[in-house]
Order: sequence, then structure tokens, then C-alpha cells
Amino acid sequence: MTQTAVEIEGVRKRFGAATALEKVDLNVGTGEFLSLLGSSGCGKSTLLRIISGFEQPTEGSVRIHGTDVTRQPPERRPTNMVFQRGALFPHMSVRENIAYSLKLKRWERSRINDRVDEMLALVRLEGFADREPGKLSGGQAQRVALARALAGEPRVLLLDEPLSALDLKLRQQMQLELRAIQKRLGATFIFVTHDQTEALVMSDRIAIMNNGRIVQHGTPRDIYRRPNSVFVSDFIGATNLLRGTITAVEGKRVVLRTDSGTFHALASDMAVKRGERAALSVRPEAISLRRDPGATPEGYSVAGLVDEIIYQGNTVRVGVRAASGAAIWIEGRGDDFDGLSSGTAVVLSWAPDAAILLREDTE
Amino acid sequence: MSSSAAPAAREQSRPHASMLPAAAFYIVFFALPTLCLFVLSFWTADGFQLIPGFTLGNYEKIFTSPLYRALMIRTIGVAFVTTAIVVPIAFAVSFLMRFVFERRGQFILQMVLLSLFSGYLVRIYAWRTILGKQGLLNSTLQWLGVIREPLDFLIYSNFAVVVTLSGLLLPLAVLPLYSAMLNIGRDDIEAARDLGAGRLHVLRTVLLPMAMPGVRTAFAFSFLLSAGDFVTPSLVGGAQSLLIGNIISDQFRGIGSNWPLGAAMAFVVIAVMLASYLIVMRLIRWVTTW
Ligand SMILES: Nc1ncnc2c1ncn2[C@@H]1O[C@H](COP(=O)(O)OP(=O)(O)O)[C@@H](O)[C@H]1O
Ligand SMILES: [Mg+2]
Repeated sequence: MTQTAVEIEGVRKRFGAATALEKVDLNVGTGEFLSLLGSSGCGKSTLLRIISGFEQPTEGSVRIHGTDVTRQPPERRPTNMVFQRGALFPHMSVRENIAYSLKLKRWERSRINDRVDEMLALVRLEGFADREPGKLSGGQAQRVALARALAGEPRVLLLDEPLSALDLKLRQQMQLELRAIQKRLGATFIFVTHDQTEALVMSDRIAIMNNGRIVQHGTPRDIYRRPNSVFVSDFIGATNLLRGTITAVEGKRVVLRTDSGTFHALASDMAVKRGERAALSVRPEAISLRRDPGATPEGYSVAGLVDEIIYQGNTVRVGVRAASGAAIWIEGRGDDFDGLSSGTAVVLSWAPDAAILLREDTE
Repeated sequence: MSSSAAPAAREQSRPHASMLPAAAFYIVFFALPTLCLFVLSFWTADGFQLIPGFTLGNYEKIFTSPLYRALMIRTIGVAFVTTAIVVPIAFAVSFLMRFVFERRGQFILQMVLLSLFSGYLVRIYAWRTILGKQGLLNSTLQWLGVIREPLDFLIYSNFAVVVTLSGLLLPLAVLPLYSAMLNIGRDDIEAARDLGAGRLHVLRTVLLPMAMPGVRTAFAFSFLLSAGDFVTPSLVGGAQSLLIGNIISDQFRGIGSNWPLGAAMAFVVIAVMLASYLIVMRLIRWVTTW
């Protein structure tokens, strides 16, 4: 087991009457790339600012490599931050920006220069040492901000939506670059984003936040495959939700009655009772479509009429309207759906383990 | 003085047709009168008669007269002390308006502007009623029992001149400083803290350099205006707190006036002010580089 870099225990944060964080517990391993993912206002930045020392938790504690830093000011913590808009010092050159923390540590000038050059090479900006920050592009500025934050070898690097101001192509390229740098250094990164694709692409582990709580954490694969709530399954990727009431439980096998029909599912590690409200989540790419209404696997299929066909280039999305009126989306390669048109009668089916049973959120 | 010029100013370094009106205004209302005054400072006067010529006599008189020298030194002293009070307070006020009061800072700004509109003389008289022998301060202190007799250094003294000038100039210094602070983001300060800078170091390496255009203007306002003022010393200053401005203004009106001598005095003051300004700016630059 790897050593724990950051331990957050029972952290609560109130701003006046409003609660921004509600009892957050989180451990981050050394060398791990952890993303805090959630929609705007859910408390991601607040949590990051509590780790960096810019906010004090109302309750709870933060430990970094075993040391309690809850009461330490930001300048004393072994963390560094990459800000959303870079926050490079405009009156200093790129070199002076990167050297800032090293000068504070009273490194020797030659050692500082070597380190700055090393950092510039790391972010592939070798020729830019003497530029003014005002004359950098958005992507370059964020790379300098990264170099500046990494120069002093922080034990934990915190990044608050550092790529959100960049356009899509550059953002995707920077995601891979950032991940590569993190792996090369073996550094601990805590990365805040509201973009689920970004979190899936970059992270070792994702913590999903909602209303000031961490609602689920795990590897991207775990979270995508085994969401533990309707909120998470809806937030991560696209999914079809079939909502209804549990009518029978036999061991792990559960029968759920919905407006669109009766379905079977496995309650993997969740205790369920008859009569409870629940939802079935089926990913669009896990559903297959047939035109002949022949033998349909009972409990794992639904019939309907094609409603919409959307070409997305390499993939196609098809919207099917079930007899109940519910819309179900499926997604596949373009030629899977050749000859389909609006109004075609089809049968949708999925493998038994593709349907995930979720308890309805109690809010 | 180029390192921290605002980016907007940097872009306009090439002369541009749209600058012509401003340039014309500057030449007609500033450069020409200054040039006239400069030429005049080498002339002589006989009663009300101006006699053209070229003599350094006026300058010689200024540098050899103990009275003028004393006045000059006192003026610079008062200007320095006033500026040393005004600029740091204005800096702190602007910082609070920008980063602590935030949106309410705009309200404070409007109050500051309003106080400027209340008029120069009115404000000097207001200070007189505060500092006077039976003024607000003395009577309050007496009522509290802190003092028995009125403090007489409060009015008609160098102290009164400095306090009144500071009160007059503070709002004027807040304006450029607050506007400079608006260009500093909270994340600029946080980035510095995050990288290991303590509060004092943030002030020295981030706040001060980034607010430099405002500091320069605030410094120039309070230093030049307090050195050039002659109304304040004549209303709240005593016989020992006249400033060079009072003597200069005497050279331009009434019996015993001497325009060429006044012009020469004005130029000596301008030169000394400019030199002091440059020295102080150099000093600040030295403090903020590390
Ligand atoms: N300094 C503050 N004062 C008052 N409320 C705040 C402050 N900072 C954040 N909040 C509130 O806390 C909640 C979480 O904010 P934040 O952590 O910035 O969310 P996120 O980064 O996920 O978008 C929001 O409702 C926000 O309005
Ligand atoms: Mg945020």
C-alpha cells in the first residue's frame, strides 16, 4: 500500500449561514492523480483552498504526509497551486516567475538558474525565459504557472480548473501533457474540474462531489461502470435511467417494474427491499438494437419505435421511444444502424450485467 | 521608469494622430507658460518694470539668502513628512477598499470623490475648527480630562500644516492607488503566499510593484502639491511655518513683488522636487527588487 499524501478528516466549511462543505473525508495517495469532479458551486475550490491553506475549515483537519497542517498559513504548507487564470506576476519575466519560490528559499543563483531551465524544459518552453507573461498565449501561460508551482518541489500540487479557459483542442493536448508530467515526476496531483471527460482521461482516481459532499470516489473505470447513485451515473457519461418500484427480490436478483416494462437486475453490493423505489441505469453503448421482434430476452429488453437518428461522425446516436413514451438512447458505430429510419419498429436489449440497479437519491 | 508601465500605455508608444489634441493642450497650457517663466527667471525687475536680459543674479540670491534656504528646507521637509503620511495611508485605504470591502469599496470611493468636491478652502477651514485653540480636538481632550490647558502646537504650527495638508491630499492620493489596485487580482496575492511569501514579502514583491503606476501618481500629487501650497500655511501655519510657496506668491503680487525672482524660485523648487521624486522612485525600485 502506498503512503498517504493528504488525509482530509471530517472537514466542514460554512460561509456565514451557507454550508460549502459537509463533512468531507478523503485520502490521497503519494504519486496519485486525483480529480475532484462536480458541477459549479459544489465546493471543489473550497476543498482545494482548505488543503492549500487559503480557507480554514469550520471543523475537521488536514494532514499532509502525516503532519497536521490545519492551522498552518499557505506559505508554510508543502503544497503549491496552479490557479484558474494562471496568476503569473505581470511585472516579472517567465524566469523570475518560476524562480520566485526558489529565491524565497534562498537558493544560490546558479542553482536557481539550473532549476528554472529544467522546469522550462519540462513544460517545453525552453526559449521563453525572458518573455513577459503578458506576451504568452493562454496555453503557454498555464505551462509557466505549472512550472512555477512545481519548481519548489511541493509534496502536493493543487490545480483549480487550470485548463478551463483553453479551447477544446489545446485543452485535450494539455490534459495528456499534464498527465505525462505528473507520471514522470511521480508527484501527487489534486486536480479540480467540472469536465467529466477531463477527469476520466487524466485521473488515477476521481472523487465526485455534489452539494458539498463527496458522493463517490474510485478509479475512472469503477465510477463509469459501477456508479453508486443516480446522480453519479447521470453525471458521468450519458446513461438511460429506467425508474420504478422493486416488486421481487431473490437473493441478488431483483425485479423492477417501470412504466416501460418489467426488468431484471443484479443488486451487486446493495441491500434492497420489495416496494422500494429504484432506477436501472443502462449505458447507450451497452444496448443492442434488432429489427425483428422474435425472441426477446425477457427482463433485459424493451420494444419501441425509432424516433431520432443523430450522426456524430464516427458514431451514431439513435433515440427510441418505448410504448410508455420514455426515450431511450443507444449509441454505436455508423454501420450498425444502416437502413434505419424514423418510425421503424425495433427491439432493444442488453446483457444482464449491463443494467445497474441504483437506489433513488433521497433528496 | 518603464518596467511597470501599464500595458495600455506601452501599446501607444508610437505617436498617433489621436494624440494631437492632447499634445496641443499640453503645449499651450503647460509647456509655453513654463518656458515663459523660465526665460523670465533670467530677467531683472525694477519696481513693476521687467527688464529683459540674462543674469544668474536671481538664482544667486536664492542660494545665498539664509531665509530662502531655510524656507526651502522647511518646505521640502513638510512635503516629505506629508507624503510619508499620505501615501502609506492611501495605500492601506486602497488595499482595504479593493480586497476587504470589495463591492462596498465603490461606495467609499464615491465618498472620497464627494469630499474632493467640497472645496479646498472649506476643507482647510474645517481643519482649523478641528485643530484650533478652542477647536474640536482641544475641547474634547479637555472634556475628557486628558489635558487642562489647550495644546497650542495644534494650530499655527508646522504640525498644523502637515496635518491639514495630509487631510487635503489623502483623497487625491487614494484615487490613483485604488485604480492601480483594481489591476491586482486576489489570486496574484494568493499565488505569492502559496509560493512561500509572508505578508511583508507579498507587499514588497507583488503589491507595491504591481501598484507602482498608482504609487507614482499618488506620490507626485502629494509631494508636489504640498510643496507648492501656500494657502494652507497662511491659514493654519504660524509665523515659523511659512513655506517657499508663500514667498513665491509674494513675488507675484502687490508692493515689493519681483516676478523674475519669483520665477527663479519656482524653478529651483521644481528642480528640487523633481530630484527628490526621482530619488524616492529609485529607492522604491531598490526596495522592490530582490
Ligand atoms: N468566500 C466565500 N464566501 C461566501 N461563500 C462562498 C465563498 N467561497 C465559496 N462560497 C460558496 O461556497 C460554495 C462552493 O463554492 P466553490 O468551492 O467555489 O465551488 P466550485 O469550485 O465547486 O464551483 C458556493 O455556493 C459558493 O457560493
Ligand atoms: Mg471553483
